[in-house]
Amino acid sequence: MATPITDMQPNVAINTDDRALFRLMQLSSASLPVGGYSFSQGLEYAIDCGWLKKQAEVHEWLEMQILHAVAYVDLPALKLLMAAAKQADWQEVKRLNDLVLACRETKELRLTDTAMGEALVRLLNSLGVEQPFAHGRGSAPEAVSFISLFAIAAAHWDINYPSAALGFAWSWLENQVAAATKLVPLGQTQAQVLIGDLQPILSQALNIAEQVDEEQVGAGLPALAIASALHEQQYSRLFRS
Amino acid sequence: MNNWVTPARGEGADKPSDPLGLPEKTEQSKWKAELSLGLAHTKRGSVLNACRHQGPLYVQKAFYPEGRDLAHLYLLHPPGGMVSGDDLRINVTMAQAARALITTPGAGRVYKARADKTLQTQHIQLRLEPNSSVEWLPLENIIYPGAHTRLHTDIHLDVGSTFIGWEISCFGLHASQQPFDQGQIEQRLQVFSQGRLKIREALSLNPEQHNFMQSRAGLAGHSVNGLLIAGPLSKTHDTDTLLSALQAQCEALNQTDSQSQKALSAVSINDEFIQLRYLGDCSEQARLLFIRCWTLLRPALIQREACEPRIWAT
Repeated sequence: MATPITDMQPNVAINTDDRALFRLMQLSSASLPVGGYSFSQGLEYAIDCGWLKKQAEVHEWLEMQILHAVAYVDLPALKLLMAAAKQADWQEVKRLNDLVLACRETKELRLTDTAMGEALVRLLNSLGVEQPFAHGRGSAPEAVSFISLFAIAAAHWDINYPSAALGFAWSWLENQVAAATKLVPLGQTQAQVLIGDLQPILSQALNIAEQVDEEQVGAGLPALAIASALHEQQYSRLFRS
Repeated sequence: MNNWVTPARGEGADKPSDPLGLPEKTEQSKWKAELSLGLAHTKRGSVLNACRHQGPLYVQKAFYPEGRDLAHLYLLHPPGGMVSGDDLRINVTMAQAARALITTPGAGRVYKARADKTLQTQHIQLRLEPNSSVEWLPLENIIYPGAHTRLHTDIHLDVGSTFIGWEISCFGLHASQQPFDQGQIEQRLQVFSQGRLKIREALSLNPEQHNFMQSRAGLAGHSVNGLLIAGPLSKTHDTDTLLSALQAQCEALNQTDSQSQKALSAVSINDEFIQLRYLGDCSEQARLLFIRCWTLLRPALIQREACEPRIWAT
């Protein structure tokens, strides 16, 4: 059965069957045990030092992150990785995994990606999803991007790229808004308003990512990178660095 | 800033004497300039054993202010800037165990593009064979409002080779209140180690399309962006001590009270590489910070005390 999730964009109609859709929800759920809630990607420092005080400022910050980092790194990389994972071309998956990690601008941003990636390696191994990254006894763990594993799982469960991208973008937004909710702080209702307001921006990012090829993958947010690096030194913090 | 004679653009700025021929120049004034340098480690130290150029881009000779093992090179680009259609290529190959410090005597300028918006491109490629080192310490790039440019730098490392380098970019002409409010900049710096991509830093500015320059996560209203990269670090390095020393430099800058000198900087050790960033409005402030950090990095990474190239003092 074909289940249209959304027709938010004229060109990308998302169709996927029930089994794939359930897997997508599982993969995109905040309850996926990968620890996405333990990182703030520079947001904690930016709020702590007074760069962002109001909901509107948080909105603008997250909007830039979505339109640059998510649209030019995470989503296009997901697209390339899913194509490689579909072919079980593990050499290509590892090459693209290098590309994603090379785009992480600080230790914190890299750790956000690899800590979640390693957690997903363990989980996929338990769920019987084949993946090429060494893990466990007798092997040094390889640095794995969460995007790489998300792509492998999505390809394994026959989730198509537009649906997978939507799910990835959604879980990214949920994590970042949850961080903002604790830090600003925002009320539960304000958080829902923020999520709603940023959804059209995610749609824009999905559209941009369609046009981004491997050469164009990459985005820099200089002030965010500085906030992220300064977070590593922050005296007391709620989120990991 | 310097004593180099700067011939007017297009008036015989360069007459190459090598067999590569004259610079390409079409009616639309397109300059293709290319410089290929090779350094080898010999009994006489690190010597410039290949130096081919096409167009107005060259080095005169190597200097040895700190002994024969490490060459100081000054890249000369007499036109001093790029206009539409210009294509600058710099290729440096460091043979096994060769060492060089490369700098420029003047800022690199990227002028306003012609109406047809032909790209102004620069591609720098540094190849390091095992146990060699390059310090890539150019003056700033000044990108004029209306420029349409692509600036790419690729660094290829091999076993035991070391890179310390920086990039300082001024967007618009801050001092004369001409912000970078139109045009396009696409900047990328990549580091490969034994063929594997380790760093891809990308920055894209398109002020007519988005408010990246004012945005708090983007340039936060600043006009000068600086990036210093150094590495790779190994387990033998005392990274904690080095990181604390670099953090102290950044903190001192961040605490500057002067309103006109307000800037941000921070350092992170990301896997095997140090990434140190500056965001402010003064290229000299960025350069002085980077020089102080380079002074700390050099003994740790290439076992040498800092020795500033003489041209910086002029």
